[in-house]
Amino acid sequence: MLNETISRRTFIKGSVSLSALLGLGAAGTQAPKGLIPKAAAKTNGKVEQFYNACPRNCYDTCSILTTVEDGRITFITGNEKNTYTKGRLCVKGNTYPRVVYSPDRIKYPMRQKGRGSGNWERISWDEAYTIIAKKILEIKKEYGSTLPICLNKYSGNFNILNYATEGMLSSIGYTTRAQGTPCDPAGSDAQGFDMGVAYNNDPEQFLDADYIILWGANPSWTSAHSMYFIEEAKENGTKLVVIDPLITQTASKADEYIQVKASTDGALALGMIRYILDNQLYDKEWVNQNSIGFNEFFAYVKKNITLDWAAEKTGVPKPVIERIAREYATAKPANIWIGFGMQRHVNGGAMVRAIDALAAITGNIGKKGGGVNYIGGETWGFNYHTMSFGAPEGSGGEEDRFVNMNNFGAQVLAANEPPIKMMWIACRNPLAQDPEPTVVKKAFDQMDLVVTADLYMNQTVEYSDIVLPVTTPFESVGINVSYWHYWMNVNEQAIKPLYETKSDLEIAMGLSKKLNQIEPGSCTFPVSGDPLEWVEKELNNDIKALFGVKSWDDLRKNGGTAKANESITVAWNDLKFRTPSGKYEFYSKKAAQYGHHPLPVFTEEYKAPKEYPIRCMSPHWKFGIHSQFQHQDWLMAIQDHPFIEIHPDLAKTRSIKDGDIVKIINETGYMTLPAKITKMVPADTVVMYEGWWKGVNYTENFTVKALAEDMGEYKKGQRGIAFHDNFVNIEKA
Amino acid sequence: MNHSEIKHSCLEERMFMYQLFLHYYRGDLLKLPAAEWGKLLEILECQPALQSNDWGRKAVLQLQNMTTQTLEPFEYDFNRLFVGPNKLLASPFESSYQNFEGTVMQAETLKVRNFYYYEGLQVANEGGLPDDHIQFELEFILHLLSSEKKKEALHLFLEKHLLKWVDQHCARIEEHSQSLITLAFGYMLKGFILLEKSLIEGEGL
Repeated sequence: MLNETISRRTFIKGSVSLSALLGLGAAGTQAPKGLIPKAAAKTNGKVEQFYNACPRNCYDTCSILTTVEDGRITFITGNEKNTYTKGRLCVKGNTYPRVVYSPDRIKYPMRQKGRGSGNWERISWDEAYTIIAKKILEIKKEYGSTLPICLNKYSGNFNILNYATEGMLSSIGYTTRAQGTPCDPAGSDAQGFDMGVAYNNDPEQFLDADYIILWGANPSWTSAHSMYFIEEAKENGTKLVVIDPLITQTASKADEYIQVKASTDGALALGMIRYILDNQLYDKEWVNQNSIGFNEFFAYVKKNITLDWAAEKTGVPKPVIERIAREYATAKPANIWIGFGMQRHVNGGAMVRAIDALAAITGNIGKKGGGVNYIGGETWGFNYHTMSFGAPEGSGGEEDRFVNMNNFGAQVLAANEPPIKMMWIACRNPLAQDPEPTVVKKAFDQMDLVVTADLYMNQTVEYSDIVLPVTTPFESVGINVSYWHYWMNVNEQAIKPLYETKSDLEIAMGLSKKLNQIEPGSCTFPVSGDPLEWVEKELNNDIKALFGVKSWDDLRKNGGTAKANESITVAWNDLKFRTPSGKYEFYSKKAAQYGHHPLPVFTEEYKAPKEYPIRCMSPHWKFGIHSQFQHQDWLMAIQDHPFIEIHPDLAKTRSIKDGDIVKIINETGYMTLPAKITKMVPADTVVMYEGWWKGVNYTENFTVKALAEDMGEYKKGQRGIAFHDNFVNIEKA
Repeated sequence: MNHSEIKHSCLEERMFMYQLFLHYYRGDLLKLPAAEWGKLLEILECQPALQSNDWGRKAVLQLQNMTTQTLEPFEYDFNRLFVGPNKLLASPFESSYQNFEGTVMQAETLKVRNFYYYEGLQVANEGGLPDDHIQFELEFILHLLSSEKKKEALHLFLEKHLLKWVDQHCARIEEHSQSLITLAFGYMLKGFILLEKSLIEGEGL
């Protein structure tokens, strides 16, 4: 009990002294930042609904219906008005309320004292802007330009307004940019050479296909909403074939699964082509009218490709190649979906060209329900107003400088005249996602200042000087489209931003304001503006006509989602290809210009080094998108640690049993993790799923070298990384 | 000693302690210069609430061992426990303990908000900050303490809210604290809450 010998006077003295000491008034109801008299109009039980858009780097880009009660999200579901989302969200999307309301979000701008020390102090937005602005201006003064400032931003949030970050950097002068994409570069170049650009049919047209080949794609995990259409088609009698080195969940749903040796898919396609040509199953009329270089290609195939060779190369028996070739060529229309993973090899682009050729000779391109479907960008015709302000007068340098996003660490270290001294990272987690993470870390070490804007702590934030807390999609406005389906989704602000979080657009305006305060005219980005006005400025007449909407607000009021009209949903329906000839180009001079064979020829796969004979693949994980959703305890409750999948025959050679800790090693790095023995992977391959970083001190990229894919420069500026040509050895740890 | 004596003599003392914790959780002590910590310690050393139980005495003892070197990690540790940017090691939100999934802005938060409403108050940045942050709950308790008429509401709020979760909060501080100061304040809070529980039980409300 309380000590009664202390007098009441002592307490009063204590209270007064405390307040005096802290320079504060007595903390009562009028204390700053605290409680205030309740606004008269406040009532409970107010229920509202809003439309949101999932902005993640995902095929599905869902339209979300959000229920808000008393200013809190209480329920989310898929928007039924969107016939692709179909009223359902995926396992990741359903965790969004937890993403918003986890107590572990990054809440305030913070500065780390000692990069990687974990010693963080809270700072105000004004302090953060001041530190950053002063460093920008200091760099500009010292080097005569802003080129030492490097932006590394990509796919964590594809809200069109998030391009404000790129716009803000452009508005301070010429800077260095991480260019390219880890996703689709080789395949996009391949389709660019063949057809002018990658352009896919509406995935809802799987229902119109007579035959579907999912080639290196696992939509059961990576595009759950596409599976509805695929399974419905199958129900209606369409044959579903899955070609993949791994027995994926999608493979388990197929009518026929064909296990191909990794990186030999091009040989399989060419073998099928040889059979189709030999048996006169190709569409002569289509080829004659719509392509160039067919005869050269035909000659190449006749001279170089045999079915016996294809069978030996791919591991697919000759009769199987013959049968699927016949089935594919005679089905009208037949649909191929090429997964991104398939082209993450040193011959990835060449393989995609071969598969494109298969679709072209059978006349499946330009047909509803057909197509050789990879990725598309037909609905992305926004104004990108946030990127329109340009460099201030007197900016040093002449243009932006680029480093390859896929070899970021090494190229940042190699950049000189001027060197890179500051990094701004948004919508990316390079320390987890890039190859050779130790090199990336070295590049960070060279920086005077690393600023990262993010939602949650991750390896990149851990190694930053300043972290800026960003909003979730529910706390800001925006507009989203997909690189796969043909819908445009409104993103309304459903709730107030929690804590001190800001959108990338608000951050851009805030930093511009500070820069202009310190040095007037140093940043051309607007210093204020209503996000609703900003988002309206993204829609031009073409995009409004394409989607049949008057404005963002009109779309908001009318279901929050709209589909593009049918003029674009069948890829190449007009057969006017965007190649130099206007035709489908089996023979591509453009390809030759970029140093490739002009024809879709077979290119040899990367050969395993003697010391590291086992291929280590890192396909996408079902409960994450790259390194996102790893912080989600709901998902961690299902699977809370990474593992490596090993075929029992391979495991036996090294006395590895299920659950044993194994060491994976090559010349780049090593890691130890539990083994999962499974026949779902081939005996010469192990699998570690992509994007795992939580709770471990490594990522799947610890053994991944910055080995380039064969293509990528034409459409993406830089080649991609052959993530799946990662060869290792394994042993019991 | 009868209970009415305790109640009478405790009011100022309780207000002091709640004010102290409010200042602490609001971050007011983070920027306190080294020289001022000595003065604060002097004030704390003569607080009966701290001297009356093991936890309070332990806390004061901890702070008496404080040096300028121990001040530096205080802010970092405070942030690790209560602010971020990492996963919070001792969340300052009631719903982190009361909600079965530990999520903020849930029904548990709304109950706290409704309590504020009942007293004609609200969080200034309502919707932008969870209403059940310990800082707001402490401020609300101070408001209720300021009037004899609000005694019933005070006891109800303590019983339904702060006293229900703060023990777990203190346990997490004890488990994860790396700084002498955060640990000392964890002890202080734990000891003071014991007194508050004892007082309420004694009053039979």
